[in-house]
Amino acid sequence: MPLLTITTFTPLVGLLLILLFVDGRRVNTVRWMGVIFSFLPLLLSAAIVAVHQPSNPDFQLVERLSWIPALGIEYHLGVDGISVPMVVLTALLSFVAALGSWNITDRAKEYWIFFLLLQVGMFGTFVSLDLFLFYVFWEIVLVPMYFLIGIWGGPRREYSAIKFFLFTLVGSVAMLIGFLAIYFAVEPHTFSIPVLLGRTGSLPHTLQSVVFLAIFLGFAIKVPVVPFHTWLPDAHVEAPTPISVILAGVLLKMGTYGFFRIGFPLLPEGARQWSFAFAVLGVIGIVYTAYVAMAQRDFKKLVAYSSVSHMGFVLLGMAGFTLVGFSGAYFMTVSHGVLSGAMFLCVGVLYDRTHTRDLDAFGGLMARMPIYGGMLILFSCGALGLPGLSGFVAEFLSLLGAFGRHPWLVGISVLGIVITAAFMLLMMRRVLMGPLNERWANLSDISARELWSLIPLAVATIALGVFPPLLMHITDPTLARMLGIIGFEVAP
Amino acid sequence: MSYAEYLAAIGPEIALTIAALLVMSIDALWPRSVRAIPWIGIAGLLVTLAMLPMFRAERVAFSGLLVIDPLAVLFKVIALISVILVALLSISHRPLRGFHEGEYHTLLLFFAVGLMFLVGAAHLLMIYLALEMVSLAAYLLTGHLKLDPRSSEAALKYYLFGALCSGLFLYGASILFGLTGTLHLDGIAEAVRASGLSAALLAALVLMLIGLGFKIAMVPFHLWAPDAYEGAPTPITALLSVASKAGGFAVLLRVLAVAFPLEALDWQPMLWVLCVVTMSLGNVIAVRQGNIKRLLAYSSIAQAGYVLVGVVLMRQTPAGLPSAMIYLIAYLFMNIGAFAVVIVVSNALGSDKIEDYRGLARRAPLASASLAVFLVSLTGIPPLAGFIGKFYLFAATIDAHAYWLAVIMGVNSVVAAFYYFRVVRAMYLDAGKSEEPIGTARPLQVAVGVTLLGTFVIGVWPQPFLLFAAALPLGF
Repeated sequence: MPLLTITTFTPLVGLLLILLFVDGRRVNTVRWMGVIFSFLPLLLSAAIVAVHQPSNPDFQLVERLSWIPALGIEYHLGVDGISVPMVVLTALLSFVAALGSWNITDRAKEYWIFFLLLQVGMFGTFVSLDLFLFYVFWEIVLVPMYFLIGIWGGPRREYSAIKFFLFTLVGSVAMLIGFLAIYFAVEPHTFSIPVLLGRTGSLPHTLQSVVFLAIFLGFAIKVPVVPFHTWLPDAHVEAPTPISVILAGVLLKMGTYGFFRIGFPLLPEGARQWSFAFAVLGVIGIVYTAYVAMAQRDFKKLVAYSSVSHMGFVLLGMAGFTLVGFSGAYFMTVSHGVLSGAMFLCVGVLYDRTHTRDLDAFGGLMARMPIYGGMLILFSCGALGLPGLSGFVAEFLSLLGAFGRHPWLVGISVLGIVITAAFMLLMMRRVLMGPLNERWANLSDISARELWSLIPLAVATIALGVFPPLLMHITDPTLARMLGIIGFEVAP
Repeated sequence: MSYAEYLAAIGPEIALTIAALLVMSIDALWPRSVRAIPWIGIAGLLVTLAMLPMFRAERVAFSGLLVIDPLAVLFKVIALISVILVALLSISHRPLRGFHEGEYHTLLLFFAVGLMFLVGAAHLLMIYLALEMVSLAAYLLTGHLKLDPRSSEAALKYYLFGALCSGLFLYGASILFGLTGTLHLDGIAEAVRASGLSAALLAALVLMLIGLGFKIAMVPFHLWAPDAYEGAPTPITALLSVASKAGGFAVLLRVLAVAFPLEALDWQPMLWVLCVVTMSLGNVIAVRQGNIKRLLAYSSIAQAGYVLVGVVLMRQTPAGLPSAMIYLIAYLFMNIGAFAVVIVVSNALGSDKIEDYRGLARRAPLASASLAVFLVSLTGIPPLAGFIGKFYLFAATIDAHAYWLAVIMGVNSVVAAFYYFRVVRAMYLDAGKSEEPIGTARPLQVAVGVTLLGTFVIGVWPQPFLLFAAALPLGF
């Protein structure tokens, strides 16, 4: 059974059903269908986890069909230890975001069409094993995202939407040129990632290092790596809550996934040559954006900047070229997906009730909204790296893995952890502690629907924090083999 | 060669000429049957299109005046499909209804006849005659709405520019004849190889490039285009931007590939500069346009720049010529589709201003979605036709190691995205003044449907197109 194809295109089926058969005025039908077709991939992703054998680092559930033989392009899907968690994360956050989209009634039909199309692109990106196909899915994500920010976003939505679109497009074009350079450099020409894995390592050094830069630009804008991050605060602040969740939880991960899937293993010499610069950019991101986050008064902007800061750990961890570092970087990818998604949901809960995100306007909400307060504290502590929660494992492993190669950089980056702790604690104080602002005396606590969209994320945060092998036993065999391909043999 | 063979060589052209004469006679003899005229014309075009597969056997006809080769056949298909679509658009374009429709459709058919001769011409005189036939029909069609001063102004500008440029082309051709003693493209090539580079040869090339550059609206010979595109009846704007341009490219390809061997005269650096300037200037100026026809006019200048990438590289990589052809085919569907929606809007609102597109998504959901698809395709986003075209062009640049060209084209794609999405933004993101629904006439629905289908099919299943294009030989 072509499980991956079914998972990827289930949202497309929902999209077509809504597009063709549902009257746009029947908001309730539309959103039920939207939620159901966002839930089905979650079940399917569970099936993928069940079928996938973690101990085997090869590509599994492979589907391979000839698509455009004139150019050697195939419809080639498959998963290994680094795609399975991404598929699960995408399915989980899509479902959570679908629940969070329940109250969108303005142009609901269009909303769900774009939302489902977005899912197709995201799933496809994480299961493609052909560079051309990967690019197609990668770009498909762009268009619905433009509309989702641009139509249902905040006051500056048009500006933010086109900024997001153009930034990402610059990166995509550079990436496409890079892919073509790889394609023409190997004989016979191919886009197939499994075939390229063995061959591209021996390409000329200059080619590898230039192509790595081109591809790096594509992924770095998406991650985003400082200084390519300026689209992110705008996009996040303007996007509606569920879309912020997807943006932070999944779209940024497409960038880091790109490093893991394509950048490092296909261009090992390029990766090695630029690893120091790579780590430096990571550290700048960690420290600088943590400072920027600290200066924010807007709750959502604070979370957005802390997001960028956390992605710096991924770069630093990868630049260590150790299994621990890779594993930590990947752990951060997943953990941050869960945590940032949850944080944006928390911001949304508050914003829906108060219609403000000004941190100074809150205060003392713990008394009015104890359950909400508990959730916010849990996720904030996860993000600031409290042991026992997923963020700590990710940060610790990334730093540990990078220490051997970049001890000084690791030392500097610890500063970022301190600042993150500071602004997270300050944020909690401004929102939850202190005297209650009288404006919010009648605020209701978190609703059941909101709570149920947070609970799976809370469970994931705690489970990953207490028992990291849950994720690492899936990822590590693949990462170990990848390090071998890059030229750093590790004991399995 | 017997008469039967002559007929076999140009059967489709003869059929189309008969159709054109038929339309003209019906218009003159039975003026009351005016409603049927466009459909008779379309039927004639469809029959001609259906005949093409039977007349595709490779041959040289009329002592080398015309060739029938895969490239010519492909261009004929492009020409006929675009003229059919334009005829469909014309039926429902409000200003054209009941206004000398017989003359209009007769001219449209003669335009198509001229184009079919043009793309197969292998002799400078034949090229010139066909070029003039196409141009004269185009001038008249541009000025067809003679009561509208903008249409007349457009036609006059187009005509004055065109007359000058065709004069220069003729001058270049005569110099070439003086140098080589022949008007056959392959004969010219032999003589040029023997004699080598000279100032006169260079002058001939430049003069001919000006003439052809005018046809494809290549910078700096594009100045007529925005005014002509804006003033012409919208279906004719689509015709000029697609069919007429394709014809120009057919001749350009043939002249450069056959008559000017690279070893005698390296035209690549010159064309490289023209190509880069064309795409960059077209895109940069398009950003500031407030009228959608002008925006699409500048966009089509930029698109011609992309096609030129394939032409520049046709000697360096086997992907060069096919990439230009694939791009032209993709461009045919997405551009005519975009104009079809422009007509839908102008029929309802009487305006081509982008600001009047605000809130269109609520008033005309299907038309807006279609225009959005065409614009996204023009931007080059998968899985649509424009992406395949652009992808192949990028592939050609990388294969030819023309990295700067790739980077410049990449930057241009991003600039283009900005202005295409201005229209998308107006339709979807901005609120309109009115919510009153806008209807779409049946012929326009057909045209939008066909172009949408083409845009999606080429994007999702490009294999047959790529195979066909990759097999095109061209006088190497």
